Amino acid sequence: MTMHIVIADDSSLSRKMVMKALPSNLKDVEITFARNGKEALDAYHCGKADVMFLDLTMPEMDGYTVLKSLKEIDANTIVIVISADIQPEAQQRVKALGAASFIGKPVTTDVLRQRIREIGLL
Amino acid sequence: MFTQEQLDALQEIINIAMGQGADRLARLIETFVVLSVPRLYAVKGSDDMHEAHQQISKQPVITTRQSFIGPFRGEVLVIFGMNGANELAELMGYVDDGEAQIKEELILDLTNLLVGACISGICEQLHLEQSTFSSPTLFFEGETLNSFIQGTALKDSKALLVEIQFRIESHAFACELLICISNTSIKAVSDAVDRLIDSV
Repeated sequence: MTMHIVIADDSSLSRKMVMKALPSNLKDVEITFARNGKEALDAYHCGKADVMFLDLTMPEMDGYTVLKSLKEIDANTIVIVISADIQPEAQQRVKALGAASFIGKPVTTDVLRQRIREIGLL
Repeated sequence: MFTQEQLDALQEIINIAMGQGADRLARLIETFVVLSVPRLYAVKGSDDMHEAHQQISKQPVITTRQSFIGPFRGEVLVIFGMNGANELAELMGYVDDGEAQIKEELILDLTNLLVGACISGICEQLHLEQSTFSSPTLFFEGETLNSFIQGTALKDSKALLVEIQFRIESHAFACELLICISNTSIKAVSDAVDRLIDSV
């Protein structure tokens, strides 16, 4: 069964960094890019978000709003927040909203793969 | 000066660096700091500065400047809205022994913190040798940005204007940064950004 992954970030560089850091042994994966929070929610509504890598500071709709909306629709959606905002309170806020994990930018392959293992995606 | 792809990458690099600056500030004042999405403008000459500056801040009250030296070389102007300065001074534990002195100390300390985090963060991510810093100084209201630029070596610089706002929740404080990169550093930065883009 295909796993739908959404990488939501307004930076093309960061979207590519996340994609590059994904484990190469993930099988049957479809990846969708979203450039803002609205596109991220649209991707979910199109049935394309089993897992979402979500930036917090984005135009149109920020990551907090996306996370809150996603969790209200489906609490089981796995959301990994990847953000430049590394304040402890930002991390607490996204955890309280139901994020599975928080990764501070710049994302590295080792950290991203470790978090993916921790939440059982591998 | 920079291609759109390079500017997009630099925007994210600066976003990450300023996230580190916000974290330092938040730990200092034990209050959550709200970051805006950074916006970048590449400016080729001082004639463009006034227009660009209007985009950054319509009503600057007080501005500081701090130089950074090394392979990545230039000057940062930090534009403070002073409405929330008193509240921020209290959060940062300043003793009230004269309002003007408190504000001066406060904004110079903040300049050090934000400029240090931003420039160091850029150097680190681009694998450039870390810059060293001059002491920050005040650049008071009343002098236009253009006259300031013309009176310094910056008139021969190209500027990367970074509009990023720090706000403190429940307080009126906000500030914005303007990074002027020396002509001599443009190629090094441009090459480093290209290397980063090519690596992903």
